[in-house]
Amino acid sequence: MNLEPNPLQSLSQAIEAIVAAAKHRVVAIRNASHRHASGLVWQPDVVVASEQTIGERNEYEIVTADGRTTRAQIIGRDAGTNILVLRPSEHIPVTSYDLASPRSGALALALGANVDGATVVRVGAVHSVGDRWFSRAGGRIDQRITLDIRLHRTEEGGAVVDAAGALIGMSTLGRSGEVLAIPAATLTRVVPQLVANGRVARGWLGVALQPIAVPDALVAQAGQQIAMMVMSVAEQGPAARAGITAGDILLTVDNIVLRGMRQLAARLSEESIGQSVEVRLIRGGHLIKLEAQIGARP
Amino acid sequence: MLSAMPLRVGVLAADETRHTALTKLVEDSGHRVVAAARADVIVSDAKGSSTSRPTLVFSDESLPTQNRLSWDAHPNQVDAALRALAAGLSIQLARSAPRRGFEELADSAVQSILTPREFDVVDAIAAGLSNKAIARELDISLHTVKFHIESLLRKLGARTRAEAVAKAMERRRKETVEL
Repeated sequence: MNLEPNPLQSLSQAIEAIVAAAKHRVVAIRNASHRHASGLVWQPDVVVASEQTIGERNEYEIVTADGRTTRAQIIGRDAGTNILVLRPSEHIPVTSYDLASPRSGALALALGANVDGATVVRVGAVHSVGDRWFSRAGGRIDQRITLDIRLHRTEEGGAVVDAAGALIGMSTLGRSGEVLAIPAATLTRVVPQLVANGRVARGWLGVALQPIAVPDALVAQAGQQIAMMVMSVAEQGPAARAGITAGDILLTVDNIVLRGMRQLAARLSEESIGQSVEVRLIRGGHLIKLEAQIGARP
Repeated sequence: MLSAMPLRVGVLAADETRHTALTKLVEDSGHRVVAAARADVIVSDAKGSSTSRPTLVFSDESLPTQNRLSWDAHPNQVDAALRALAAGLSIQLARSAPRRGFEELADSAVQSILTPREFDVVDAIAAGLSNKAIARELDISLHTVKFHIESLLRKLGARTRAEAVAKAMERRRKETVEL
């Protein structure tokens, strides 16, 4: 059967062309046992990966799309934004990225690498694009981008590109298999910090908190029904120095009502380090106020 | 006297690649690879054959299983684990690292959040206390204990006390946030 040239063929060729142009930007990151994850070549001497896929060892092997192998060392990681950066011992030639402004419904390609560095590709769409959000580790992600794409865990950390080949972000597995992209804007903001300092500066109180219902007898006095109970306090941390102890029920920090954590996470930005905040809390049935100085997350 | 002498470590692996990888893990942690028959302790991939000597297994999942480490374990961890096994101890990861995926900081449904008293009661149930013992322990009436337990079951969506404990622990794990 010989078909006339048709639109599907053009689509297919267009996708192949995008992959051909982008594939040298995606590498395999291999550990001693040849288990691997994917990574994205950010610049010739910086490879970016999904933080949650990379273990505690310091040295890894990077395999490029053309099968060349080079050693690499972790130079920074941030669980808050799920970004890790490695420095390959040999430069990997890439030019800088065009950054995409993703819209839901747009075509998206997720590129990963198999264990030998060869490119693997998933084709789908941008499922949703939402506002900035905060991860459980307290990191700020500039947009919530979800993808209508399935991803194997070894493909995580690769590049997600749009129909023009522009970078949407880095693929990341979310809860229960949801596939996210850590936006290019977040990579642009965080990668230079990780390259320079090995970590991201972030405000820190040094407490583990869990939501709790304020006991009925104290609701009127507290002025709120939900608060955060201190489960543990980091030794010598800002909260410990302020006199906050496990079992305290925190109501407000700097007038932010602790109904949830998002506003507090937003308050604990890099700029907040060193600022003093008033903490209202319930201890032993009484409402008290303490002054805490926001520290830097270790 | 404590000695920092390198241990003699035997390597059991399913194939040559894994054997090389295990040898490197051992040497990176400062120990010597010797024939299995002369070893103080054995390292193995999950597929290696069984042995009567203390054995440290490397696997892909960092499950909190005894004498098991991830292939990505830090050399310091490998060193500590090998020494512990050679000394007749067994090891277990303190922090199980279930990679459940990168998660959003979410707010809980208001009506299902427990009160401090309900946390006390669920902790007491977890410790194996009877309702009577809980009443004594928390200095409240048996009636009040039952009231708290009913509320707990409803908020956690549990049918039994055991299920309530399991769900409360799961929720604590998921909801606790370090800031």
